[in-house]
Amino acid sequence: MGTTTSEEILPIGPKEELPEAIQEEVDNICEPEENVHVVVSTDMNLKGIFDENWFLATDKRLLVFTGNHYKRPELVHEMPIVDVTDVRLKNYIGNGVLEIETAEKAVEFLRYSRTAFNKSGIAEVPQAIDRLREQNGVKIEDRKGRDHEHERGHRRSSRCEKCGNIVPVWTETCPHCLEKGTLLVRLFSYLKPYWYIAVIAFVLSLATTGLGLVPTYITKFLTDRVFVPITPTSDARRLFLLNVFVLSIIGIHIFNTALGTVRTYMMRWLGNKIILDLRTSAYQYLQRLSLNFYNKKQTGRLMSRISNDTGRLQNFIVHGLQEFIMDIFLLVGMCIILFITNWRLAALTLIPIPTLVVGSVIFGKKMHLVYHKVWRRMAGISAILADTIPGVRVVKAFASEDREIDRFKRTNEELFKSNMHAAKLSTIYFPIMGFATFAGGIIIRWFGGRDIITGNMTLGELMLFMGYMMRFYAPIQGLTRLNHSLQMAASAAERVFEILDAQPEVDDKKDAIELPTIRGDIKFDNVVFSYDGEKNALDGVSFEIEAGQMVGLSGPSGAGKTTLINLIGRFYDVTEGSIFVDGYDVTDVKVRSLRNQISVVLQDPFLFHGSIADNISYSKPGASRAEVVAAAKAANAHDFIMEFPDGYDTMVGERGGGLSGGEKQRISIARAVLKNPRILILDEATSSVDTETESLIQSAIERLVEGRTTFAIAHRLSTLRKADKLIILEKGEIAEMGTHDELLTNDGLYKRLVDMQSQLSRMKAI
Amino acid sequence: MAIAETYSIENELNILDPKKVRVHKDGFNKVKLSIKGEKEYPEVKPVMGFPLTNPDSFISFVEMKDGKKDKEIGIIEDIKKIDSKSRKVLKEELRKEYFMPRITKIIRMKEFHGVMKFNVETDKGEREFETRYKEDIRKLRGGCVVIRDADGNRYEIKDYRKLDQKSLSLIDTEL
Repeated sequence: MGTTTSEEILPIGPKEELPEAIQEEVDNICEPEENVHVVVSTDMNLKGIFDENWFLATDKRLLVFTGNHYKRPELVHEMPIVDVTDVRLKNYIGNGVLEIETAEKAVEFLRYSRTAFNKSGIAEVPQAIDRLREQNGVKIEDRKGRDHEHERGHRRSSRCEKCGNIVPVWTETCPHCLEKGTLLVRLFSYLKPYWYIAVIAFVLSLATTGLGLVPTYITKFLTDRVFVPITPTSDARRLFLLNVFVLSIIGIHIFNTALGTVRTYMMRWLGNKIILDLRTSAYQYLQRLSLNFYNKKQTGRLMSRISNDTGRLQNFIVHGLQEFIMDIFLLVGMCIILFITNWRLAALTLIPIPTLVVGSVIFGKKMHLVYHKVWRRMAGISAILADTIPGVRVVKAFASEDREIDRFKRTNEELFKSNMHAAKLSTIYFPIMGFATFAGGIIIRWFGGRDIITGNMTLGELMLFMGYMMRFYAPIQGLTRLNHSLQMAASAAERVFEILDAQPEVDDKKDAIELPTIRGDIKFDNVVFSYDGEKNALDGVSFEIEAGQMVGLSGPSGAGKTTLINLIGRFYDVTEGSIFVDGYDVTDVKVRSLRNQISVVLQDPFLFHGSIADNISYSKPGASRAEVVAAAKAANAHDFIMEFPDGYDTMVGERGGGLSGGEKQRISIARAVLKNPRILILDEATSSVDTETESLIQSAIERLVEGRTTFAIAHRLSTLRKADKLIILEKGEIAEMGTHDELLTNDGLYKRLVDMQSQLSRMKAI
Repeated sequence: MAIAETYSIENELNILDPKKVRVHKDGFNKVKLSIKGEKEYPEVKPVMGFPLTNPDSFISFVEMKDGKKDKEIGIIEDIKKIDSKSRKVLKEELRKEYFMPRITKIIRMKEFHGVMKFNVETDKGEREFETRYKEDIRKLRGGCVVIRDADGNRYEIKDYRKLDQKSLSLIDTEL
């Protein structure tokens, strides 16, 4: 009974708010007791002209209107629900059509852009109509597979789920929903452990800024008391004052420089310290996150977050923030002094400020655009270089050097043009800004000069104005850039915090136990796994492996082979079902203790920057030299290693530069041998090497496999012949399982694959 | 010595005789193809080979089976060579399946955190859209620009150099 009520409450389909004008029309058409269940708006009419269109479904009929608040609505379609025999969404490129079929014909009912499709609930309309048809007594067969395929390569919606705005590429959190304030507050929470340093540095900032204004102020006294005394003074007195003033200027300068040095050092320490903390915790966190996080982001972007974004934050804390505080104090301080000295002249000095502010803002924007263009062109040149220099063999092979030179020349000329555009702008900008400052000087001289003549002002006061003027305009230009640097810092902070906020999907349970040394029995119990929650990569996989057995995994690409082995090492957690190792559910044990007993040899082995010995002992830090050499021997790697002049000390690059694919593979096998794992995983370990190397690797692997539970993925089925058990996957399910001979007699997918491969090798022989 | 029977890649092309090709639509919105004197196909899907650079050439017909694409039937090299009635049906269908409004004027372009927001006038009316990748704005030969927005819609500028001054200065920065 409970279920029926909840079904009644469940809405039949998406329901947007309907404009009043259309509501009136609907009321005219529909019967009084008729309920509207579905309301969806789209952004184009059936002719493909951008226009508001509304689709409605009531208990009895389907309706389409054009129009909105401003335009009188018009009825486009009306169809009784009982007439409907089929509903289809036909998704094309750049648009799509909702098609309704009756017994006699198919009608294009509603057209929508991809934007409307992503924003509104059109995707749910067919199901909603089916529900209404059922209410009208029509029997509906299963909907699955009846909708047209989506456009190939169509990205999943890039809109924010909360506000519907487009989310930029580099982030997953929507900047529209972002609160800049909270971010900065959070950033400052990193200041907390060092708050006393921050306070001292802040006080020192105030002091140096204040003291920086004093010498100019002293010059005023110097002028009015010593150079051109206002009141008659004796020469001896003047000489004495001269000494006092000059000495105090020297003293203040030295003292201020010392303070400034201490302050700068403290601020730098602070900035670096915060970044040290932030960068380390971000990296720590990154290492803890599961593979899924890495799959979703591009590694390049993640690297940039650790190095560039944290650097940007440091820049903001050390420079941006500091300068901002100083600028404010400087401005306020000078304003106070100037207004006290001569408020009328001070007010006049402010006249060029609007020009300065507006100029900086406008030119700042313009310059940004122009430099953006320069940057684009520069990237264009880099793209050509990145294309043609590594691809130089192709260029030469097709004798297209001249064509490439031409292409480069054109792009380079465009860069020149935009560079000159930037040059033009900046040559205009600086004189204009200079003129504004110059105008300030003229105002002070002229109005100040008049005040001196009329005796309203002393020469010293004029000197004070002249002295401050030069320093007055500079901070204003700095402040106009504040918003920009604030924006930069906020977005950098956000990207770094995003890493810190991500929850590791594979995480030890609180009561996770240490996995003891295992024998290597493995059991999959109805395992379901999905990467995206939509499509199952593995769909109900069950099997049991005894310790020491070798299992061959095969099947078409995309069948779920790699997914299956990734689950054994718990790089992901299963969506449904469970995996047992020696009877322990892998989710109940500590991930580290599990992975310590598993070794993986991948198709494209990754070597870290370091020596060959370092790379082999990566799996067992602190391994003795004897162990390393023994492992290399077991992996058939020793001989080629000894041919390098530096032997085991040979440096290999990030991707193992200088080593061939087969050599890298054997080093990674040595790595696996050294670890002496209970479970061994070979993911296409021999697929990218020549036949001779393959036999070397194969014999190394056979040694390695002895007595361990082994999973081997291979396309070349001959390599799997020795396996105790073969699992053939297809579309995430086990298609066949058994020994080589059993499967051959079975005459299924495996037989087909074997036949195809022997045919292929015969073709190769010809 | 004469070279006997050189292999020619043109044999790979399955070109349909434009004089024999007829395209029409039935009441159920299905595109039908008949090749005179040879075969009738109850449902086909026409696909453009060069939708951006040469929409009128190399139209491929794919047979539809149970609402899914099956095998290619053949290609017509030039849409202009088929009879006018078929051409009209075909063009209309292609324009629907590859919807790409033509931008005639750029009113505003504004960047926010790496998302570029466009306000434009097109031949289908005014429109607002966003791009996320700089590669989404693609310059083709002859000044043609194709923009793909964040939702997967496409827009075309026939020749950006012929846009009005303001539009030109806006788009030029992104090319």
